[in-house]
Amino acid sequence: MSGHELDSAALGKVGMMRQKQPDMYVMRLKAVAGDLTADQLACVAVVARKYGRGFVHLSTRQGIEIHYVHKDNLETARLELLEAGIEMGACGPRVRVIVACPGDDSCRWGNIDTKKIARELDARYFKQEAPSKFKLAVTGCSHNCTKANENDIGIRGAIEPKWEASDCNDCGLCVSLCPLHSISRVDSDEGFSYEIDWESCINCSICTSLCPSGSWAIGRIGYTLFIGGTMGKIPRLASVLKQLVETEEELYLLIDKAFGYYCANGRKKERFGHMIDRIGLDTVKEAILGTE
Amino acid sequence: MQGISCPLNAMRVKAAVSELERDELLEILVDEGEGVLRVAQTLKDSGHRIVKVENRGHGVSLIVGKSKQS
Ligand code: SF4
Ligand code: SF4
Ligand code: SF4
Repeated sequence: MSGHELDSAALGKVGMMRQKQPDMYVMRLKAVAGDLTADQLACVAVVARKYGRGFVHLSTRQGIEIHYVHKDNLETARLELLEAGIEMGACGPRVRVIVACPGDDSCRWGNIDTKKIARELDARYFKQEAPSKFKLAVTGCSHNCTKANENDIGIRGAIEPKWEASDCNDCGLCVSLCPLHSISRVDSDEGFSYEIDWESCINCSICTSLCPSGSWAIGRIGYTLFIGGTMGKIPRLASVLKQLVETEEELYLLIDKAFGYYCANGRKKERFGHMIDRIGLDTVKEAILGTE
Repeated sequence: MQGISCPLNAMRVKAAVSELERDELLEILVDEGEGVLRVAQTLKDSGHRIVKVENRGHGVSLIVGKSKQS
């Protein structure tokens, strides 16, 4: 390996990417869950003017990149950013910056505190080495704005609705609202009831949010955990590892196991999802869930 | 049943419902999917009542009324 290659592998680790122009680099900044303060943005503007060409590029993963930074200025620029609390992102075969939607902080559909989970995942996994790049995303509900199923690990806020007869005025709205047509009205000797086909329900919270009389209550709330999603050259949507994980502890435990399994079994440059296809989803799921 | 029956967007629905008398009902016809979702959301936010919802094949009919309190 030449000196230069070594150099760029080391720089990739700290979020600096070589451009095609000689000696020019991209600085990839870290914004967990896509959040930066106004003061941090002001600092980015200063650094982009001083060391770049006065513009930034927004990546598809909620990141800000400063382009055209000369290699001699990388360290100075990095330190200036760090003073404003902005760390560098990551490139190469390791865990990338965690992306997340606003979740229950400000979105009416949010089922979970996406930002808190993103910060926790950041503390646990950011920059950890892996066979290939490793992306994690947290999305507050089945609207799936941060595309949980396009990530190596995806976490999606989930609720399990429960019908309560008492206040239901039999209006039928929920039947029309459910995007998967999972709700149906059932007549019986005791009267009517509304029931869910659990096979098709995507735990989205539309029924619980919009039932006018509050008859769709939240029975259970938690996370749907996806593994093995990737876009890129060979796209593969993620598979569900577990439909409803009820506690944060269990969530992190399962992610630990999934990541550990990938690190132990993934071939060099092989994405998690492609490893799953090679080994077989059932085998992988069993290995991760088996000793739960 | 009093009122009109035609496709309206959420804001027009809201305006129309707030003009109803206390016991009047209004039937509105909206598109499936996003259409009914938006209207249901607006009605819930403004506290109005949904009495009956039926899928008519070519759209969804909602019979709505003013909230009991107002
Ligand atoms: S995924 Fe759900 S909670 Fe997150 S921004 Fe989209 S709609 Fe809101
Ligand atoms: S939307 Fe609510 S009140 Fe209307 S039928 Fe469904 S559960 Fe009952
Ligand atoms: S949670 Fe969503 S998919 Fe499941 S029944 Fe309710 S509206 Fe339908």
